[in-house]
Amino acid sequence: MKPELKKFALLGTQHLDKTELSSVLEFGVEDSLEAHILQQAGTQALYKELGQLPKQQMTARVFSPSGNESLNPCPLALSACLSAMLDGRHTELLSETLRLMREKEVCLPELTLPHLLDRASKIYALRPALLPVMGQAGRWLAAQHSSWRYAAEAEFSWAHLQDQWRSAIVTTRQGILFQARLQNPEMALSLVDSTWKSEMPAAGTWIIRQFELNLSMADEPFLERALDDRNVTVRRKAADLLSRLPDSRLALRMTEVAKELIFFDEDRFNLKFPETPEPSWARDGMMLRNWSNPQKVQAAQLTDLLSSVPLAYWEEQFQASPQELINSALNHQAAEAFVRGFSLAAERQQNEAWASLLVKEDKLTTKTIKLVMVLGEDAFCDLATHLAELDETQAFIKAFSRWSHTWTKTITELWLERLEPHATVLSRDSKTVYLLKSGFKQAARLVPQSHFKDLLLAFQKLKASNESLNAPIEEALNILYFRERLYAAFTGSSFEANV
Amino acid sequence: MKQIYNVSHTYFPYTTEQILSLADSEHFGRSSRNLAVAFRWQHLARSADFIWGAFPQKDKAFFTVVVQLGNLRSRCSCTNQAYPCQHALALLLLFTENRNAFSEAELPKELEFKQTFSLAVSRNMSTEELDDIRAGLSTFETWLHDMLRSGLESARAYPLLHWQQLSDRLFDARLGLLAEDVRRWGQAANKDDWPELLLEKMGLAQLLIEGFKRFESLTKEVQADLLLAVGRWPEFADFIEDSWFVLGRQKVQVGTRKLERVWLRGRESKRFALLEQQLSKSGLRDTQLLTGTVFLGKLAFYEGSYQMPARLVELKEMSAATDFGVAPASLKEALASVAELRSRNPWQRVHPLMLHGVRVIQREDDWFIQDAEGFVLPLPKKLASRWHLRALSFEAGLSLFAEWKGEQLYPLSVWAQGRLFDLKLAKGGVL
Repeated sequence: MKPELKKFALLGTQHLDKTELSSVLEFGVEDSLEAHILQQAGTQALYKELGQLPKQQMTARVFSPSGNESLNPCPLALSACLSAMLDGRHTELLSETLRLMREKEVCLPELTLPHLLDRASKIYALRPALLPVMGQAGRWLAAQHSSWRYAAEAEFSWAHLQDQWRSAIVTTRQGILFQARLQNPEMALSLVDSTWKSEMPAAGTWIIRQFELNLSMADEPFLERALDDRNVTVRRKAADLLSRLPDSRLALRMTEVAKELIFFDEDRFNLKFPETPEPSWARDGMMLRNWSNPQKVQAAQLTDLLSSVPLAYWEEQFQASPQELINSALNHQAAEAFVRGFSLAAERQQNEAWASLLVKEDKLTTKTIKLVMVLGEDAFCDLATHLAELDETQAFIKAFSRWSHTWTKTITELWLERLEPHATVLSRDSKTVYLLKSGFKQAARLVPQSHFKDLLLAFQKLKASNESLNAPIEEALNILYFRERLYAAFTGSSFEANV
Repeated sequence: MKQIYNVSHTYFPYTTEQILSLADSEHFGRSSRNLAVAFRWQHLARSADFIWGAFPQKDKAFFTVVVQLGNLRSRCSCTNQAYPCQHALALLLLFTENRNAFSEAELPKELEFKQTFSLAVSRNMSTEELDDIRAGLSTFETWLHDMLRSGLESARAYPLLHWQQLSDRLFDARLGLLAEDVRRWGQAANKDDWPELLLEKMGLAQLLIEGFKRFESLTKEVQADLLLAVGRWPEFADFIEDSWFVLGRQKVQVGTRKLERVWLRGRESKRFALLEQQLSKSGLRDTQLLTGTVFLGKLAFYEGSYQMPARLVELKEMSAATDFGVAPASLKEALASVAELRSRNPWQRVHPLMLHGVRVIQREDDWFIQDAEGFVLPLPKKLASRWHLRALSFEAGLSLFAEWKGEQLYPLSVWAQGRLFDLKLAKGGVL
């Protein structure tokens, strides 16, 4: 634009001499000065726009993809399912979808990459499922965004990690540690060690929790030192983690304490707890309590002690089987403390034999319900059969609702067999009908593909006989239909929901 | 003139994504999804051309929803002002994903659509109407000149309300599009080169005013351009039957009206067409045309220097697009075509650009479209889909459709996985 036009417009024409301007701007004195200025401005604007060209060539940083794509492209139907999940529908099936994609070597469609990369930058538990199906496009894209670098590196390098570890924000550091614990626990330990002394208390809390992943005796020295940390949460978590390692110094110390306090004679447990506990026990997880009831204090200390001693100790020391020991515990005055302590030990040590016996005896109260996840398929089937035979309907449904692995044929058949009688019992009471609802949904989520039709028929039959269950069954059917669509998407077959 | 919908057979080529693109917002789409489960509905049914159902309400009468499959027009008895409402959208989603939930039936008479509307009849502008426009523009011209007399420095300090009030007066004079432009002039004051920007906008407005002063002496094409520039409809010039590819959709607000711009391109004629549809629940006028579909039909083009604004007259068959078609790969060539169109009609505000073989690149905080020769055009900084386009740029160049508004490119759709994807649906791109 002509500079004088801009100047006149800024100053305002009321301050200008029209006669003088008429020669500068080449217009008649009788004409409107303002109209003339604006017409010239408009014409010049158009002229500028019509001559517009793209900006000159610029070089942008080039990110070179490394290697050819080895994964298969994503079918369109599967893209639609992924979009639905990213939209908030059936997000609980995302892990299964990513697992299937990994098994069938299918990579994520490009349009879903930003959302999933962003999601996994915050929910780092998603990363193990996501990274194998990123594809070259995903890794290429991830390298270009600071929050997504976790997906860009094929393998961690020490220098890169250390740099990030020291300087990144909390969520990034959490993701780094999570991934490092997953892929290279030794490197993760070195990372933590390098900055531990200068970490803030809040950081110490989340860092120590990450040691749950791939915990091993290599972590023992660090955790042993953490027993003396100034942060009480760190100390307690360290004790918890060391209890999971039967060969740790903490486990050995607690075993020595157990030798002094717990005896087994003629199939009976005898406890000889001192009135005043040793202060050193608190360091190892036997907390000091200022309660007024000494029996309650002793019970709590018993639980603490039992949960830290390797279960194999009791069997070897007292030459008794787990069943015998549990029976004796149940006959003791402090039965609840025993069950709580042994359950915690079984959970920490992932001891299936003890877990199986404890859940059967306790019938899945809050003390033992977590032990369901310790059970393998056979042990779980055994538990479910046992509960069915005893007609323990609520416990049966609770067991299934806790079992979060994909169901096998045997487990599915067991559930279907008991569906109708259990539904009849539980639907009568408004307090227990919620168990059915969550049970139906769990079934729809976890039943294997080979049993989709069986589940569908079972639900339809139940609907016909019990109208009050229509709504929860329909909710479960929605999940099932979606899974059918998902599996159909992998095979490329068209899907028609079988109502 | 009536609009005719002769969808010869019921063909429902839409994907879930395309149906969701009808949603007013992402949140709206999500809540529609939540309603799209069969057990929440009653009396779901379908005929050859319609789907309908009843959505129960607690302790209230249920909502009756009907959707015409051929053109996706809908009616619902709820009070939601969005069009389509979430119930209609939910019904469509349900039909897309679970057709077996709908039983076959005849559409009840009380649910039939009354199709007794007609297109705005094209006719010559009357003298009174022209005088009205001139009167409105004359007042506007006085205001422009007053602003210039005081100087733009003082105009910079005007609050946004000042521009809004001026815009309102232009709306009152039924100069809607001009009013919408003026409402945005206040935003120029925040930019670094604001005197030039504002002066350019005022200059173009002055040219428009001059055009109306000489209206009778101009050709009918230029007259039509001027009428369209202020938001009035001229007469129709041409009727073209073709296979029309729906390239993209963009919602705009003009005053209190919610409109939707729909871009089409004829497969045979290679002509671009711009439909402007009102999103109105009370009016059943407007057909929903979804990005990525192709329909056989007739358009009526308004008179003008290059005849792009049009109206849908007839829709016969709908199908899914199977290819993007030919498009320029050079940004210079694309801008040259825009310059040619703009030289014929300087008041056309937005131009279609189909591009092929381009990539999205980032340089610090700025984003660009780059062609194979390395030339670039800027993208909006906060474009929600920029990372998606970047992801798609991985292996091969992109085929995309965008609007060019003179300074930035606004991509509306991209060809991916064998279909044209509406970028409004790109998830999680704003980072």
